[in-house]
Amino acid sequence: MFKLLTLEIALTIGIFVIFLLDLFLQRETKKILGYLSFLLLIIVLGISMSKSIYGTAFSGTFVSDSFAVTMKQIFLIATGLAVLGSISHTEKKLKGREGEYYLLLLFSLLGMMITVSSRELLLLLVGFELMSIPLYVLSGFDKENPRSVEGALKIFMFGTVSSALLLLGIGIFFAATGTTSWLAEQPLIGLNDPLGNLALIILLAGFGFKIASFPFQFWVPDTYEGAPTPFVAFLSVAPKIAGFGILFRFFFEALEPLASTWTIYIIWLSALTMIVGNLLALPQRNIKRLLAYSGIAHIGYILLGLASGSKFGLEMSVFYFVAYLFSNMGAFFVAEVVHRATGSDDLDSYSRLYRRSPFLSLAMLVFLLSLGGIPFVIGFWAKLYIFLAAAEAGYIFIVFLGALLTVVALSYYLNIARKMYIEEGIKETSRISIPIDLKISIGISTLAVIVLGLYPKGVVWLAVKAISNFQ
Amino acid sequence: MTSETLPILSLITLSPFIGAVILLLQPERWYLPIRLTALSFSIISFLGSIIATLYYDSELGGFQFNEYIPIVQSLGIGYHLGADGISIVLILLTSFILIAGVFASWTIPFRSKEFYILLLLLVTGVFGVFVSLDLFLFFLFYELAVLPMYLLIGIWGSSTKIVAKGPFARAIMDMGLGSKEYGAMKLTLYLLFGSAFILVAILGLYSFSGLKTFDYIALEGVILPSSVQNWLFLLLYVGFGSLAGVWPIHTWSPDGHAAAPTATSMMHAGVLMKLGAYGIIRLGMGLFPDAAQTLAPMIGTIAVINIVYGALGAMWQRDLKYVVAYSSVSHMGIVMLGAATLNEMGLNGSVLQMFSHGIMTGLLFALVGLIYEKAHSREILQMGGFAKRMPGIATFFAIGALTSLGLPGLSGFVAELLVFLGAWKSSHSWWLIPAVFGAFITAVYALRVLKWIFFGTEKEPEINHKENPNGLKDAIGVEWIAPIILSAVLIVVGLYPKPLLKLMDASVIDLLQRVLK
Amino acid sequence: MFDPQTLLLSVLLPPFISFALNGLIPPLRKSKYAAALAIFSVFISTLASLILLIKRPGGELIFEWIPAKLFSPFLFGFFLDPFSIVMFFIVSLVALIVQVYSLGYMSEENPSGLGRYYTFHSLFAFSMLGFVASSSLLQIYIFWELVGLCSYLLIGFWYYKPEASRAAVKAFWVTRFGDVGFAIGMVILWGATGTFFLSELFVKAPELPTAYLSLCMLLIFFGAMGKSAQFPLHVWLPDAMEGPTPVSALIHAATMVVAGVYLVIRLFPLFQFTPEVLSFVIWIGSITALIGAALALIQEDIKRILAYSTVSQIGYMMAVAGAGAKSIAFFHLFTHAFFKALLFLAAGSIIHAISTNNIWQMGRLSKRMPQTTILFLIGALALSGIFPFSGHFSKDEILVWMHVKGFRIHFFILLFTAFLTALYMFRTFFIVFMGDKEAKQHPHESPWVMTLPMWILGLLALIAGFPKESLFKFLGHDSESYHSYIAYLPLSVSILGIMTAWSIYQMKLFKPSNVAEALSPITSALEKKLWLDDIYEWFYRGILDGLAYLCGWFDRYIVDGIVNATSWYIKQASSQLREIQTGRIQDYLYGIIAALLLLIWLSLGVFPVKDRINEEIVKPKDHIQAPSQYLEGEK
Repeated sequence: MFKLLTLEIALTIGIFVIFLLDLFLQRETKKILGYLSFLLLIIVLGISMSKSIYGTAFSGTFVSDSFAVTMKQIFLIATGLAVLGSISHTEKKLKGREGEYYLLLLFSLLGMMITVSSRELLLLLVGFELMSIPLYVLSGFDKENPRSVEGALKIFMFGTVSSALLLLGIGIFFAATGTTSWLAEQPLIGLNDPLGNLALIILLAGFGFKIASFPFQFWVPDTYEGAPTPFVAFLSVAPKIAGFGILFRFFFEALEPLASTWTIYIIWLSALTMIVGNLLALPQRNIKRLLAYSGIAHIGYILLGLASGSKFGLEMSVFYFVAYLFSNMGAFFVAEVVHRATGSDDLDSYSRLYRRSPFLSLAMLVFLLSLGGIPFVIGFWAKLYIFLAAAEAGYIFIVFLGALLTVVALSYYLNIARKMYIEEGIKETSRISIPIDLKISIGISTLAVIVLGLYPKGVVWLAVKAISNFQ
Repeated sequence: MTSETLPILSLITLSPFIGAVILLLQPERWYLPIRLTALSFSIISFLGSIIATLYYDSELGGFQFNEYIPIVQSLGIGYHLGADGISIVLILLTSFILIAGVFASWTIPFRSKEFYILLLLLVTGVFGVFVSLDLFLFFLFYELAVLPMYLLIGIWGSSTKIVAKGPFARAIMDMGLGSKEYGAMKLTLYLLFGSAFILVAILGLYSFSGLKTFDYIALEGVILPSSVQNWLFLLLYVGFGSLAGVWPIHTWSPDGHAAAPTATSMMHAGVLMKLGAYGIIRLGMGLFPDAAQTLAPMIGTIAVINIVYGALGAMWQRDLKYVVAYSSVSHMGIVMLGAATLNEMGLNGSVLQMFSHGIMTGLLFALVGLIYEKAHSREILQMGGFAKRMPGIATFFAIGALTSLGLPGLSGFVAELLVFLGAWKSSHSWWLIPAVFGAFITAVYALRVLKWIFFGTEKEPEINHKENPNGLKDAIGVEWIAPIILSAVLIVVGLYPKPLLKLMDASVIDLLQRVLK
Repeated sequence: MFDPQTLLLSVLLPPFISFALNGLIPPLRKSKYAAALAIFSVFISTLASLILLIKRPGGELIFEWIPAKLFSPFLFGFFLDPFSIVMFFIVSLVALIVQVYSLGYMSEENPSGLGRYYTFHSLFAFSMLGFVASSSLLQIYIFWELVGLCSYLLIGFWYYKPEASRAAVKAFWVTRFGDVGFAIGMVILWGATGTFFLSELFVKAPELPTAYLSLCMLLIFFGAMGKSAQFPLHVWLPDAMEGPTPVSALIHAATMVVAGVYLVIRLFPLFQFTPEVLSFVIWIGSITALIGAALALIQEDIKRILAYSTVSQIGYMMAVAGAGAKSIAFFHLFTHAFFKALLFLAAGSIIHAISTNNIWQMGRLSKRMPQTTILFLIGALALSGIFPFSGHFSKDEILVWMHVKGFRIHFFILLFTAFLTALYMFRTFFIVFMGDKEAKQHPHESPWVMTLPMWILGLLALIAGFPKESLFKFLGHDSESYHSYIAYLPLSVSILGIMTAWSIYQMKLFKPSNVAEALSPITSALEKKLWLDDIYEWFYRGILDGLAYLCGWFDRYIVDGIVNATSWYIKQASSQLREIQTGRIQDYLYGIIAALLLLIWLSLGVFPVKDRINEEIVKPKDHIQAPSQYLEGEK
């Protein structure tokens, strides 16, 4: 039965190896840790391809089905990109602390992997904490920057509140059903009384923090602004997807009988999240804050997929994860490069970018278009699929709202494009040199966004496979 | 029949795309090769469309040259191309404008590589919309056609000064009306706003039909309850209407066209606005026949408003590009009126008007671009007596103006005549009267502009003295090509419209029989 | 080779070919061969039409122009009948003469300008001939517009003269305004009959309700009024004199302006079913005749005098056509074409000589320009209807017919007009050619290339009246010979008019100014051109421009303003919304608590829990397996 945990075990071993190396390596040579952990992630990803890791363990509380595996693969890819994108950053900014940085990332990853596999609320909580706590630390990782510390404080406060809520929810859930797990054999009694309903609400709130849906999104912009950008790239994608992973599993397996109820909440959440995210992104002048809010808006779109309450909807959301992953991380990497070159995250530092680095501006354009949902990049399909699912479920008006908000979204994405390509009169015209690691990670993201945009079928496949074991 | 042997429609649609990719690989400074690449791939599309026109069996009618490759089977999305008479006519129009546009932007001063890339991408989108028989594909190409516009206008566009007045002066001022960024952003967002409606309509159709497919042919089969049809049709009407410049959601078009560089406004006024009308005719009437019949009165009435209102608006303008832009609004009204008449004459006229107005407005914008290059001004009242220094441009401009006022012997007349006949035959005969008066107003402002700019005593804009001391000149060299091609088309079609009409007639009748049953 | 089709084509095509070649090949157009080509082509047409006139065949060419399945397709065609044959002859001949004359008159033009001139001329010849022979109403409309275009182009030939371009545009607008009526009438006539083809129309139209048909014909006649400069749409014709004089002779005297009359003649089979419209036509015709003559009386510009006289003569034609005698109308058209063209060419040769239009700056020209004098005299006599000049016969016929058919009022109006005609014509003649004071310049007789054409026209103006009977026979009109005092009235009033002119302007028996004072209200009205121009001006500046301003302003600042306001508002709103992001964490937490409580309240209050409490919920068993074969399934 341990072969089901192969991924986690392998990861843990790798983590320990890196930990030991971190102890013994010299300050200068520590940069190899980055490459090592990247290698580790590759290996684990390789293992995850094997067909022998499917099944349930610990009397069904730990499940490794195609959904879990797919999600884990997504996490691995995200983390891999993040690690790759961090190398030069850690080297420059965090001299000598690379080890801790990567270890924390990997621990967080481990936490995610456990959460998506758990069918037991306490196990889930453990994984949840394991995922969250490293994030708090990393958010405050460059100590000199007060903004960073502030951001760390915020995410920490919110995290603890959310954990508290989760505990509360679990308690109520237990009170309602007499169990903390939802196993295949054993039916859930008494989920339908008000108590169960309450549990649903509170747990929803608890997860809401993690995915930063309205009204739990407040921490996002402040934290993003302060934290190291490559880490933000990770933070803006992986934990959210993890949160969704939990939501999907819990809502679709445990709370499935309440579907008629929770879909309504989710619809409202998604609508509000879309509105708030998009409208708040409109006046932003700082790229990281802007991406933060647009990220929130995207969460709203994904929630739409969940709200449609059908397998189809979930598939489409998984598709959206992939699109969002590459587009958003790519955008943050570009932000990192520009920050290094200009020393600011202000949108004005993007003016005439195409003169300073055609590659960079083109990549950014591609990411923005993908986030905005424009043809021939993956984002287009993602958005359309989500809308399609919602329309199928009959939420035509929400689709309408979403489509209109897309116009708002494009107005601020195009605003960046305008600065990059159109705006005249710019003092700085020196060419920007891109560090190799970021060049690679940006390149990968760009390629993914374009190729998958031209050939979405593969991703649809993946999504269908991932959701195949939900009813 | 070549349709089996070679995928002619894919050839037409994708060759600009390939051209764009190849351009991407060329260094910025290759002045001539860039243009030649763009030109040659446009010519491929052009020849393709000629072949399609020749091989289309107009007796048979219906969709021909079908191609089908499934993209995502589980969702019923497929790469399904096909063209009927209407699409063929519009493809032909597009390729004419494309060639002309490539030549018209031959002398583009800077960043020509990117310009041509974007232009070709845009054209890919347009061709794609005209030939795609899969709604999803349709939407995809539609978006593709809209987006490059933003950069095209934003980068190569030109700004004007507009005074903010009226109750909303504050807003107008804050939005920075008149600047090219404003025009670009306005146009793009407006059209995306439209596309939101279209998207909802398409998805709604998908879910209501319950066929789990986006295939046009399959969806033609389903007849939805009329209430649903009305709603979806209205969504489509708003969505495509905003692109077709339907009143009152037309205001993007004057600012957009005025801000856009020559080739872009040619492409946009010439083809993209038709794309909106095509969408309404193809999707709206094709998929929601009952709704089309129910709502025809509304469409026709709004179209009549368009005609008169646009003409008067054009009469008020003193900026050359704005005049042409408003005349486009007015002429698109004629197109929509023809569609609303729901009879053979009117619909034929509507499609022919799409063609003729496309060519005509392309010609006019090309000439406006030339005049602007020579005179560095678009202020009509600052110009005068240009005919002495630029007789050639004057002649072509006269041809364009006369077409727009519907002079016999030029294609505009045939189209307008058919629409008028259709209007009289339609359920609302009174449409005829304002429509004809609209044509008269067109005569008033068109000839007036012609007189102000080209006739009378010679004047020269102040700006120009500084810009080019050696004064105004006639067009030279390659600048001639675009006007010559386009006006030749206008005259030929005007003298003998039969072939073109034969081409579309059968398809139009099919469509009508769907609507009227 | 003389079969009708070939002849027909050999009339129509040469001018078109010349136009096409000159138009498409700039080098040719800029060379001196342009003129030669044009003249040669119209010469061929003249020959062909002469042959037609001799052989008098009938024939038709038909082809499909606009296909249609649910409607009957639009056929086009050209056909030969007496009217079209004679008209062919008139048009091609006058065109030929004028084009030759132009060689002399336009000699100062630079080659490219001359090329342009002859290109337009060829286009005009083609369109006019096509118009004449059209066998479909739609086709008539097309050529109708084309000749209008040519007139626009040729009036504005000297485009750099502001008044020329203004006059050109004015002419186009006014005629176009009439054509709005024509177009609508044509369309609704089609709507009722489903065909444009004349022969079918003539069959189908009678079945229509008279009111409907009357409406159609009235609207169509509106177009004719515009084109033929009938009151109140005549205002463009005098201004059109800004164009080169030969153009005025050809287009604005002989051919194009009478297109309206020709249209009425052509569509007479339809008009005859609509008596009200016909009486309207008569009234318009006679009023126009009177007003035209009256206005001609006070002009000082020799060309404008002739222009107004054209207006009034066309009034005659309209009136008699309305009275039901299309052949007589056509006969007058026939004679008028020659003598009016002659008068214009003569005026042209004067202007060419002393380069002014003002009659008061001329005088004593009879000495310097004898040939012109004689020719002008011939023209004037013909116009005044003096025996044996051609005008006499046609005008006689008209007046007699009006009298016989009992249109008394119109008869007297026209009779008075005849008097006025003679008066203003000879007023001009005496002032210009006799007079006592010399013209300042030193006039000289024009070169032969100008005089020869004039002599030919003079000859025609002299004899064109004689073949009356045969022409009527050919046109199928039975002119009952009618002898009574009536027959002598016109001639005598004309002579009276000449006497008056002589006594005033030659003998100076009494001063014209006194007469003017005596009739001051009338004269002032005439000097104001009956305020018509002011009315149109007001319509254009006031109504049209006003509406335009309204629309434009509304569009820019209201419709578009709303658009801007919306996006502006969204921006504002978003920056307001931003306020909730205070950055102070406790605020956030309060917000969250509130939201949470709200959610809970919702969960308990709004969405009541369904009463399926504690019922067994069997969770479906999950099937976990490697996705491989599933993927196969998908493929």
